[in-house]
Amino acid sequence: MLIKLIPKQIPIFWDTIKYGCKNADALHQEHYQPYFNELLHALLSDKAQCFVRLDEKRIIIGLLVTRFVGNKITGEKELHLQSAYSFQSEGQKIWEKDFGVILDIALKTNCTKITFETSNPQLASLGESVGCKEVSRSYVYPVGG
Amino acid sequence: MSDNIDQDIKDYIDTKIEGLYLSLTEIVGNAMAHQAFCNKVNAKFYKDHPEFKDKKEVVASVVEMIDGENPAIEYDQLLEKAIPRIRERLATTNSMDVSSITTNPNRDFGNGEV
Repeated sequence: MLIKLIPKQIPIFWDTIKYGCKNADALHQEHYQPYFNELLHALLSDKAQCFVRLDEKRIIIGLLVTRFVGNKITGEKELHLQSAYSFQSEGQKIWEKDFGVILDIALKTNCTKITFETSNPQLASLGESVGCKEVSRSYVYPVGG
Repeated sequence: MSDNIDQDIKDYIDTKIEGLYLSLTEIVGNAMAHQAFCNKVNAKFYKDHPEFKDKKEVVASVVEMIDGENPAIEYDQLLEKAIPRIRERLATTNSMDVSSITTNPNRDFGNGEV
């Protein structure tokens, strides 16, 4: 079961959200403060949305942070999956079911695309399994230092 | 005959363009007056509420949210309406830890009640 937390619930589950996002985005400690500060404000303003997946005992076993993003070039609205974290290994069927919920939200909010970026091959593979297509690759050249 | 029609069309377009140019000064003037009004209201707001001065990102976030909920509201009324929500938001964010991670967070959703 995938549930969207309302802004008032964010403080209650803030430790779990931080834990999930830190692991999903491989955050370094020196970046915690700016990252979580921005995320907290975004979640409290509903600029970012947090979904949790519960097991039968109502324990949070998965977490997803999304944002609605406007494409400045095309003017289209996209549903961006910012961070996804699972506290336990999940099967393909559960992922498909969760993706179905996200797709439904994207359709109802007039989004033309669902987007995500990942360096995790497993997540890329899950995305491809539901029909997501790779559109770009990101490269970095460290300058100086 | 055709030349006359072309000239008429040209004259018509020129008149419209001239009208548009003339109205631009009014549009820009209005925009500048509105901006000046907003700056004045903002300055008064931060003077009346110096505790918000270092929290401009929180103020902006709450004001934007209230603006979305009340699209027809006047700017000065919008700021007034935002004050209790900004205080509430600051109280919440000040009590939240953003610089460390709990290694074993409580994941019991319970009934999810606030």
